Amino acid sequence: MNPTPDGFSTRRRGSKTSKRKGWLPARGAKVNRANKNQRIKAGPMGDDAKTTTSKSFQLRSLKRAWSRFHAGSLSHWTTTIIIALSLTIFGTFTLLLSNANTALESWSGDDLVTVFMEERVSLSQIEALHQSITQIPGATDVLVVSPAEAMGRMKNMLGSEAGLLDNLRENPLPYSIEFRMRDQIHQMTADLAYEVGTWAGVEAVSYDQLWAEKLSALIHTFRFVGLVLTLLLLTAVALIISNTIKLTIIARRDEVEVMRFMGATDAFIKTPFIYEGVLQGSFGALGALLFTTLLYWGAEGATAELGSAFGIYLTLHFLPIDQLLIILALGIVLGLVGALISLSRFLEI
Amino acid sequence: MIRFHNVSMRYPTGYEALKGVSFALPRGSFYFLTGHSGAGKTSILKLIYRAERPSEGTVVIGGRNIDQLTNRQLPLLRRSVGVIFQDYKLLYDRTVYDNVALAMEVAGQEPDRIPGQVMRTLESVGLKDYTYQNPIALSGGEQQRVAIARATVNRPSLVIADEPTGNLDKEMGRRILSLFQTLHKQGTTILLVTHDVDLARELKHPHIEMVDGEISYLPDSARLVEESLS
Repeated sequence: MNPTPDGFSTRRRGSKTSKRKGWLPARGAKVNRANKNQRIKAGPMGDDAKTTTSKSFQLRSLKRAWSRFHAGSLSHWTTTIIIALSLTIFGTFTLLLSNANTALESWSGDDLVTVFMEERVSLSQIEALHQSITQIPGATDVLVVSPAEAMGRMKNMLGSEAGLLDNLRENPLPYSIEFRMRDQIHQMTADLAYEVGTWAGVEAVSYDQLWAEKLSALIHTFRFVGLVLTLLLLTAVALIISNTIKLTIIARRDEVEVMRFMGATDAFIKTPFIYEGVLQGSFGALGALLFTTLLYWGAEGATAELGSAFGIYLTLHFLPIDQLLIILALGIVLGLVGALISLSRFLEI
Repeated sequence: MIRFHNVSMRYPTGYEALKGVSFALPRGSFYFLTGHSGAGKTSILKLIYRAERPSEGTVVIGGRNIDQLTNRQLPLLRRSVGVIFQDYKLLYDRTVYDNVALAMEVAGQEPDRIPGQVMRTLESVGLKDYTYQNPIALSGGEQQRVAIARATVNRPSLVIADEPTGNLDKEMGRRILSLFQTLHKQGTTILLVTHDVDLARELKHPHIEMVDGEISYLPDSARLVEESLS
């Protein structure tokens, strides 16, 4: 170090006559977007000038984004919470649809047709109906269920509550005939059930599969409506993220200008903003997973109680891992898209 | 090193900041650019680091017409030129160290090289004791030295400064100018804009004088000759 007369210490880097050659890029020299493993040809520090690797560049960009996010303004956290709530709505909807599908699948397996007899019907009429049903092509497992058998089944179903039925003076359940159709498509069975319902002595016909199909159609409609609403919701979230990044860009315009005049590449300036969006999306998605889990825990007990009240076994299953990953990926993609929209509109380098 | 050939510059508002300016500054030289406010001094600096582009004529830096640089080559030009702004343009949400280190990060320097080089540069401008202070707590002269440290930490071959002594008293102005003198002795080409002709004369370096966007005085050493156009 050589102290100068003015008191500042200086370090000599060369003589007065030293000459630096080619301080501008050689013709054809390129600045890689991420300064990837590149030596600046004849750059400001001569031939020794080295630039960082792409990996190191990405890591440093991520660190810069994290420090901004961590230092975080209110708008950052507000956006993250909005993402979390929006994705929670999506997650809850997915959870409900997933469980409805599971329930439907288990129900779909029961293609039993139950023919309920009128109260006044005689045993000979029941036998005649039994014969008629047995002669239907494809009918199988044809079984006459007496009122006493039906009552026994009901008591089994009610379990500990079965004692309630003991106070009945007489059995109100009618005779019924149950059967299944072998290798028939559901609509044909449904048509057949409708036809059997018109026969003399028949009070009503129950065919669960028909209800299952109606419910399935309803779920499909819900799924479509849900998809449209989700798309609208996610678009809104992407625009909110874009707006937050825009505010960050405006707040940092001095920094961006200084970096630009110091020779920052597009990638150097833009990448931290992109990571910022991705971080917001990721944390929003993690928040959504947390909220969805809490909702599930709350709903799980309530569902079991509801099922118990109706004498059926109802259970709620949590989202499978692939759907959890989809929610996480959605958050990341939303953050990325929001940041890119904002950068393309508000950051001209 | 720097050649302006018949350069005119018109702002979008229609204001003509430069009218047919021509000069050539050799490598390793030290020139002052003087003139009253609005004479076009700052416009010349902006053309050098291509914050603006000429309406007519060519600006050649290091043998290359910088108007023809691609967007990918432009950062390399700017890394090669240390720019010191009149209003310092320091970032007040970070320390002196971070302000200077940013210039090295922008240039893509290896992280392990940054601390040593930053500390050496801060020492060279006498700011080692202020390393972790916020620039807002520093005086105008100290902030100017931070700006000089930031502009020179990558050891650029060319340093341009816009009124670096404009906001300082005479004594601090002399101290700042001596820093540029030191840089010049190390081989750096210096172009320094000032309206303080007396201060400039003390250093005995040639000056180019501008009036209303035109050069009113040009020393022979900075005259553009035909062979330098080739």
